Amino acid sequence: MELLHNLFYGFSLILDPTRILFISIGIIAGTVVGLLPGIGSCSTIAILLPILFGTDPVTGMAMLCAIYYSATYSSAIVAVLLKIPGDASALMTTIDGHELAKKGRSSQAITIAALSSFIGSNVSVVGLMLIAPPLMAFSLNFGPAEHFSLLLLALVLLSILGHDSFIKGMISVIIGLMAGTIGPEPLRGDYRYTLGVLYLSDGLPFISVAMGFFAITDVFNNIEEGIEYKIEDETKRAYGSFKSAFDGILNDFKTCIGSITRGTLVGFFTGVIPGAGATIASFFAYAIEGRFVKTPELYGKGMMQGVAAPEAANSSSVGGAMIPMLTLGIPGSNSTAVMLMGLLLMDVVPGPLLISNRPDVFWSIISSMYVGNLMVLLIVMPVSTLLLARYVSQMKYSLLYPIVLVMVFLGGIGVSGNVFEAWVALGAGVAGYFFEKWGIPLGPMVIALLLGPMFERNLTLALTLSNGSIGIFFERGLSATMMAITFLTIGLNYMKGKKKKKSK
Amino acid sequence: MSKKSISIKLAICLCILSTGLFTASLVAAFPTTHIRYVNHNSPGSGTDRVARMTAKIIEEHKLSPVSMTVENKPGGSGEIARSYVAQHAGDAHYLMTIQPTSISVPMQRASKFTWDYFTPICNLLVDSNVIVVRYESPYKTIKDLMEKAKKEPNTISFAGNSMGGIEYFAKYLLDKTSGAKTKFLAVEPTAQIPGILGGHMDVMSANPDEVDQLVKAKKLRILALLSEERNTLYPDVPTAREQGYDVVLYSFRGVTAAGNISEAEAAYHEKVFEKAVQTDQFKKYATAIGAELKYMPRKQFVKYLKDESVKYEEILKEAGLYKPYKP
Repeated sequence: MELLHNLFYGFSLILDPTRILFISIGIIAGTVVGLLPGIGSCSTIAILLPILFGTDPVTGMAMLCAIYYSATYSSAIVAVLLKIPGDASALMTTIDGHELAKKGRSSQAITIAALSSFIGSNVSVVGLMLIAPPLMAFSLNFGPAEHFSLLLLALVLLSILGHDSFIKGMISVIIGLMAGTIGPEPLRGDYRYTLGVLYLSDGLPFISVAMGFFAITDVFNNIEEGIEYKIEDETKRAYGSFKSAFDGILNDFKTCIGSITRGTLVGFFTGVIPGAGATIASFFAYAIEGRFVKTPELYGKGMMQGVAAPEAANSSSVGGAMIPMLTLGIPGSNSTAVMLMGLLLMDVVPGPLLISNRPDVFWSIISSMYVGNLMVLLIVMPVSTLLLARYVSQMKYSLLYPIVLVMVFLGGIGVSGNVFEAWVALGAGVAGYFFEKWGIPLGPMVIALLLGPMFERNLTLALTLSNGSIGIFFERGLSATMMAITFLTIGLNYMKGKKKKKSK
Repeated sequence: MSKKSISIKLAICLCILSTGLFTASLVAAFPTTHIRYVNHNSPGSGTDRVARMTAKIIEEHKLSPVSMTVENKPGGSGEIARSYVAQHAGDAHYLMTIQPTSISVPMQRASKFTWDYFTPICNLLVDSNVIVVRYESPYKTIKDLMEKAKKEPNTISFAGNSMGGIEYFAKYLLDKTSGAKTKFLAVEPTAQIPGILGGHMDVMSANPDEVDQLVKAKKLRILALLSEERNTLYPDVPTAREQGYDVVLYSFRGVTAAGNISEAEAAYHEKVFEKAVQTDQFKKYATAIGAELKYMPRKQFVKYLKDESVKYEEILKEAGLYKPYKP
């Protein structure tokens, strides 16, 4: 009862005309800036932070949440329509999302993405309110050894994912890990493989590589094959009425109920773990969903579940990540780090005392997550689905691709202003083209690139703590469990492969 | 008057006006455009917050005729920001944040962007450093901790940002004064507090405002303050010195400008910041974050940086991390 009372309090604060106006401004700003690839949801907030100056914390946080959700959402739109992962959390959505767009189902994909995000974030907020303290206690059990085991499991799941060859998947992961070693060494900060280039001093800019691997490789491939239109089927290309944009959507939704549920749960728990945010949540959700899908050979080639699960996860991870932020004042993910920034700029210090010191801020954050999400769903979705999806899907590649290339290069330069990053995107596109020719999947590679530094750092820390003993990974319950799952997965996959060979 | 003569007169007026303005801009006093305050950290970090607060105060109290924009250029442990400002040497419109890592990082990365490559302006405040453990930790005083570390070397783990950063210096100096040997863990800033709370790491070093709420909520415990005197924010916390470990380590947060600027331009900046730190707002802010108001004007600041630089160099050399720039 207390909970409902507090919720109503939060809503009463948010549903004020001025605040709704500010939320709307946040949605517009977030959508527009978020559409620019390379400027992900977190960078969008960082750029738009000046808007928060002079607003009171309640309004400011409501706007911040609105910006975040609309930016995440517009990244998903760009991912589906143009195969550009504008935000790291949209990476997995790009895979199946764009394939669906090629089949003429971009509107449905975008709608499912929006609904999954909406459900995911709302459920996670409920979870946040109900089980924050015990969950926080659980997540504190994640030390370096546990983080390492978790990441190892992630990398193994990735190499198995949706490919025929486990070996090729592993090669992909290993190349990604190797590329991830470029940059500062975790303990002493000595530079490795940076070749004296200042811009490589933090490693390869991940989002540029991701955009290169997905968008630019696609451009090269399609030019080579001489494909003129994204949607090859002429009948599907000609969008008749607005109604056709939602053709079969109910069926899609029914298929995805399980995915959304799984994605939400995975995302929420991943978000609680400090250091794991929307991006990692979407990886896990995508990987796990692949094990539940009835036709795994079609996964990655345009299945709606491949959009629903990661989108539900990246949204619900925000609710999960709010737990360490609101209970301990620690930003557990990039999204909460920017929220923390926003709060600090407005002189509100998050931490265990926030709920008692500033209940207005706390409860309005919760309710603005609902309201902001709902507004994004109601305002942005119809516009993007009906207008953007129709037009972009019908464009000839010869017109579309220059736009894509410009967006990728600008996005690469984006926040940092370094032209070098645009070169990295181009280079990644070229490299990706060759990797695909050799049958090496790109998804695992780019994710391994992102996870590599964390993976190595946690390994180093764990071994320092254990003074060199590997036992640390197997003696501690949580870590041992994850290790067991990892080995089990490898074992099962090996046996499946053997069975396949036998039946051949 | 005919239309033609009116337009001729108008044209002549405009010419005179524009010439006048043009000449005026040539002899215009500095500053002529907005000032950029470059932060080498990402938005939200300690240094960034101090910089933004100061810029805000300068705007609100109208201490500068032009606006001051805060630019974040994170990356490379500050090298990206330093190289950016270095590209604008001679242009006094470029200011940059300066703190201990601005001195220690170039010394370890063979970078030429050392603190004296730029023009130090002044110090704004000085953040103290505290040694923190989890509340349930068996170590209730700094003595407990260091004695254990001395008896059993390489068992106590000390978390910090990176080797060669201020946390590492804290560990190094504590080890040295007590004859103990702790393990250093280079942990991501956001993973340090969870690591301590979860019992994975034994001790860490932080600024008071980072741990304030958790200390009040009895989740963390401060063992010692690495300052000369006790802090008003935590009057019951003893200094390390009091407890027999003479380690004093401050994280200064100051302002520096692009190199090769004129004496007048540097003095101009000094005056603006001097006024800013004297406002009540600034004083309140400093006290709220547990920092000490140690404004240092240019000459004093340069000497301070020189002394700190010597101190860091010695520690880095002993730790085998010293790698100066060799042109």
